[in-house]
Amino acid sequence: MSMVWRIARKEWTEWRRDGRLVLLLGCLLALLVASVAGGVLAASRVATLKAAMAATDHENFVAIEGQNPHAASHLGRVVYTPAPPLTFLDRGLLDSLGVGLRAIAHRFDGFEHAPDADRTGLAKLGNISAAGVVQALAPLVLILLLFAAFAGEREAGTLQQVAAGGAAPLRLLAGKALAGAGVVLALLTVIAAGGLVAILSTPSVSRTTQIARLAALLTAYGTYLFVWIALTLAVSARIRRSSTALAILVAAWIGAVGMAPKIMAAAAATVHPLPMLTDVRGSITRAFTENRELASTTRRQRLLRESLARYNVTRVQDLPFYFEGLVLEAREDIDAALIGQAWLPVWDVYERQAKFMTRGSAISPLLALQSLSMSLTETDVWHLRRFFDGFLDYRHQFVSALNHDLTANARFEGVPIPERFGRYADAAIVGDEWATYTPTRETWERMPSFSYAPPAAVEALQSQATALLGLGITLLITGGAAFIAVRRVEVRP
Amino acid sequence: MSVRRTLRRLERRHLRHRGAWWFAALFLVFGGTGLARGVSEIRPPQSAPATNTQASTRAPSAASRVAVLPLSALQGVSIGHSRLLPAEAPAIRDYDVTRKWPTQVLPQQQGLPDLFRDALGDFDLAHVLVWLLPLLVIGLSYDMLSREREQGTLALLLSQPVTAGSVLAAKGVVRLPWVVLPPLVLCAAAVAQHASELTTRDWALAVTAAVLVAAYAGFWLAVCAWVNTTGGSSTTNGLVLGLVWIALVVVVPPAIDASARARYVGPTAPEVQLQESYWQSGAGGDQEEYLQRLLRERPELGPAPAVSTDPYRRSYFGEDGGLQQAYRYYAYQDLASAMSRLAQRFVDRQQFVDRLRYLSPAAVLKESLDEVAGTHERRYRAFERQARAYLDDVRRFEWIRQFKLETLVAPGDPWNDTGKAALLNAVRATLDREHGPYKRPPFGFVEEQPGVFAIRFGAGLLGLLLPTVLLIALAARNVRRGAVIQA
Repeated sequence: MSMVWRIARKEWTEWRRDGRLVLLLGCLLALLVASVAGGVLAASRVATLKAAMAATDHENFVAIEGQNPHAASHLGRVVYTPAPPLTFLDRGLLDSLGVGLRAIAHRFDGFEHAPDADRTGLAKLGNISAAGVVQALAPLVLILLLFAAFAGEREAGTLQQVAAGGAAPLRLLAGKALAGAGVVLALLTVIAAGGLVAILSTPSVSRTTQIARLAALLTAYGTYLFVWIALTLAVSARIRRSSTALAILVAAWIGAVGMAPKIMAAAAATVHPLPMLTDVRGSITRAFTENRELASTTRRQRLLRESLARYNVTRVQDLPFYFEGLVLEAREDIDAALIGQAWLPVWDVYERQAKFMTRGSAISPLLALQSLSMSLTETDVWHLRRFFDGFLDYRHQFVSALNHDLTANARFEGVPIPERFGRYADAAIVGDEWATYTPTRETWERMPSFSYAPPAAVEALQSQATALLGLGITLLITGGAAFIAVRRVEVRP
Repeated sequence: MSVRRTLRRLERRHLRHRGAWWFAALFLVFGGTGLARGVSEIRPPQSAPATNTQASTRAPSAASRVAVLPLSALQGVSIGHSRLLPAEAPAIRDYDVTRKWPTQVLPQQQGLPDLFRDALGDFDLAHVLVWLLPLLVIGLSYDMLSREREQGTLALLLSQPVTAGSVLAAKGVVRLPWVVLPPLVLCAAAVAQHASELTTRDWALAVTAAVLVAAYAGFWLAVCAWVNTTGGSSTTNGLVLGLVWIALVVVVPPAIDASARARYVGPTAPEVQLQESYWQSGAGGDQEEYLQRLLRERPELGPAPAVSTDPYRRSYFGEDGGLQQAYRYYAYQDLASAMSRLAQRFVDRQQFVDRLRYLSPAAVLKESLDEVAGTHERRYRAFERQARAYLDDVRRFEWIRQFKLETLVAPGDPWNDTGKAALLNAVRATLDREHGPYKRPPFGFVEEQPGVFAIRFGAGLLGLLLPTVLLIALAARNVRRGAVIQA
């Protein structure tokens, strides 16, 4: 048995003897197992609930009666945010954003019903999700297990004896780090087991991709915990009194884990302020109104001239399609672009805030880990923006498909619409044709449904270069500090 | 000079020597930053209550109704649910209440989700008090007896005419201002921000908050005293106190939240919205059957309105003989029931939290500070209920008028852009003359009864004081048994 292994075993024996193993690691593992189990169940429940709500929404849509396709587009469809299996570990920003988006004509209200609003005021005092346990509590447990690794032994006089026995300082460091690695391994095993259960129990996901993401997650969490092991051992080797070492490490934990994320989030909101939702909606409404005016006058006239010329007819009622539907299609093209433009600055601000948070890894490795963790569980800004963009494309497809169905199947039957209803394009459609063209269930079922494929894990990781760099540099710095501190360690009490 | 007084003087000097000023200053810096963050979050509602009046040039029934939750003077103390739940319902004209679906007229969020702060929690004064105050207490007190024992001065001290209990009490008394004054300074700063605007109720709330914060600091001092009497080393004391802090501040409060959410699961707001979509899609059933049922159940409505011969008016403006009105009448009833169940879920869940908060003093303080700041979920849910009840009342009144209005529009009336508006206004003016306009005053939020409030605060205070007394009793028992000296 090598000396490194023996030193690690001795640490574990000491932890067992003084009760820390049961009290600290036991409690932490129990909490983690409960969090992982709760997370797996919650992720499964959320996925089931969203699937059920999506099915109900589909049923509501195909059951529409007595309405033309454009009127149906005013009712719209709801697209629910994704429920990836790895959210059992970290729900990231998913619960802050909202449960769903409504694909609806001429309007876009943003995300609806953020689950965070459905929490009591006690929720944010701590984080007992599996991610919260590993991100916040595991470093503290490592500190409490390892703070006396050198300082305690020095005070007790055993460090001098061990050194006299021929144990090189770096072997001591490796042995004590190995003891800490045992704790990390135990924690990661629980997460890996939970992750596999979550992935295997989730239908219709790419298991290979998810397992790759899980492996990357485990690596990231392992690296983060090793940062704390290295820091703890460095401080323990450098500081003479174990109580002082403990105080310094706990202060570092409070700063890096307890305060830094909240302070950085508050700072990000100050440095990169969000526009008001009412302003975003207002800009869309104003643009839509202008678009509607335009659609009912200039563009309508141009479209009419072009259509009449193409089919070589002189009257709108002689066209082989429903002209008002064509106007709505043209209008929707502009509406979709306007929505995208109005929300572009919002997502730009979110991305700038995310970058700001990740740059905070210079002061806390937790910020780098949180960024990586959210990315790998598909719950960061980068993924959510892609989902949002996918939704906007779908919204455009969906509304356009309904308008196109109206164009293709409705027929002009009444008096000339512009004369009768003036500038109201919408009112024109619901005139005579409403009564004569009301699609059946089969038509509604042919309308496009939303599907979203998350980006590949590699692509997601490429977006996390700063976080990866931050975590790597922090590991190098703390590892280097431990190396230097142990090489110069004072062994005399 | 008595031994106790000397002891207190020495202890004061020791605290200064070990950097108590720095601890207190750091705490004040964090607290001040938290307070500044909380104050910067205060945004007045976009629709001022002054707009809650009708336009004089329009028919009385065209009055705009705005429901706004008033700001609390102490909102800077805790951000609470102020960013998560809406404090404003959209301005809506009386007759539009009958045309909109129920969830469309409810209070709506004015801000975009602040993703990172929503996910990670807010940094405000309440967070600093709940999270950092115990650490200030622990930092100054984790070794108040064990250090003396480790240095060998405890035996020397006890050779004087003092008991171990009085030594502990003297050390506790010396630390009390260090751990109570900084948070009270922060509370005073929060009050000073709006001192001129505070009502008697606000002052009472501010004093209650100060008392609760002092009691919270006292609780943690009692925990430190008790741990110090168990005979462990300073390091062990630090470990135990750290674990107690993690359990009571970091783990138990979110666990209470998770239990409450797991216990009261449905219905959720998205499900209620889906139910509304179901009715909107027209899948709720045969409109003719609903109309017949309505005319049977509400004979005072008289005969059904006439069906317009104009297909456009029939379909777009609902002049279909009351078919859509009848359909919506029953849809609203169904949705009102779902929304009541949703509201009841929040009430039940909060009662559950109220019962379990005693498991953690941090939970007691956080809940109380949110209430003092007027940002507690309870207040926002009450606002939502009151706004809904208010608009329901408008709808009940306007709905009958709308039903009858359809009978008053003759089939040959002009129905173009300008003609439509003139016609509707003329008909509404006739109805206002005949039946009187809706006369209810503008929406005004009714705060909770002071008695109910006081009982909850009193219970919270007891929830902090009782464990404190228990811990002091346990510490006294340990001292009597000599555990302090024997270790």
